[in-house]
Amino acid sequence: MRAERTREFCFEAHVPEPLGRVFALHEDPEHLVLLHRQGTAVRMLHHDGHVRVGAETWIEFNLGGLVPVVMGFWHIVYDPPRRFGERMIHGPFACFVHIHEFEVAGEGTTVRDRLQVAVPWQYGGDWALRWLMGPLLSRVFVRRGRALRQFAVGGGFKQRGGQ
Amino acid sequence: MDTATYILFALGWLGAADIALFHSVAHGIRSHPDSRVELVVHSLRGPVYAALFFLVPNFVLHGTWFWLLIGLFALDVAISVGDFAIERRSRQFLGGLPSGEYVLHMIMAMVFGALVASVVMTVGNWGSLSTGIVYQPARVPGAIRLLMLLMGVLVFVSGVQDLMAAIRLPRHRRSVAVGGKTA
Repeated sequence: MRAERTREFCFEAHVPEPLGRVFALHEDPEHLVLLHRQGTAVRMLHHDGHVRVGAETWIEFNLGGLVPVVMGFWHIVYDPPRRFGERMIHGPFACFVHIHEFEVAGEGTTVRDRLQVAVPWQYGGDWALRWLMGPLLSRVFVRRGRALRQFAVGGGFKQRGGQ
Repeated sequence: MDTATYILFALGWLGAADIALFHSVAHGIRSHPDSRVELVVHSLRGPVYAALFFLVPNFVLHGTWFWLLIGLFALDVAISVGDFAIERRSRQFLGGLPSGEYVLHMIMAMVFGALVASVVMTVGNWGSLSTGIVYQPARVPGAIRLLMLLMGVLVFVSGVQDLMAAIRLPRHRRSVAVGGKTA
């Protein structure tokens, strides 16, 4: 058995909305698609309606506009309104753990996405992670942060009646 | 079978793209319980194509050997028909068969038709000759025949992996979206 190297990534975005509202938006899996309207399109396939421990969320993201990659996640952490997280149970990574953290920052909220990722050797292993997947993840999460801020500025949180 | 060798070589690359991009990266069917039957069907392709990659570029087949080659073609058609019949259900939970995979399957089916037509037009009376197999390499670069030998080994291994996955996978996956959403 070959052990793939796991790399850690951390992305931050500041949202001018209270922590409760930002957490509420994130804990509804249906809203995931809202955060990925720019760039890499995400299609929601299945979810359990919440992100509490034991729930599953299955999504499809389009790689290069040609290959739709399906990923299934099992939610492993739920600590409202500070954090929640999930681990990949189906998909092309050897390891993919995503922890979402929320922190009060002035009158807004800092959203922090912590990722632990490993690519299997047959898909290029650490080389592919470092030179292909790492930059791709960076682009995806920068766009996600931008989408979140635009959603806040556009009054999306208030329209959805967040706490 | 020079032309047939080139066509089979092209088919090998298309098949490799199908396995790598769609079966593995996109849908990961070797870890998807709903795809057990599809995996069994795919596993049958392993020995069929391993035999084709070995025989077509290297040998002239007479008598029974020729009819065995035709039998391999017929078996592959049956495998493809079976595959098409079960794929929709096998991939339903994963969002359905990707459009790119549909297109790739269609192209592969056409290339396979060209392969069979090329063989039939080349062989003349091989079927009525006394049974025998003669080493007579196709007039193609040696590197292509070598690569096709490697393709044969890889497709056989891939078939074995599909079968092992089908045996290993549980019969049912956990049901998701109770009170939630399923697209």
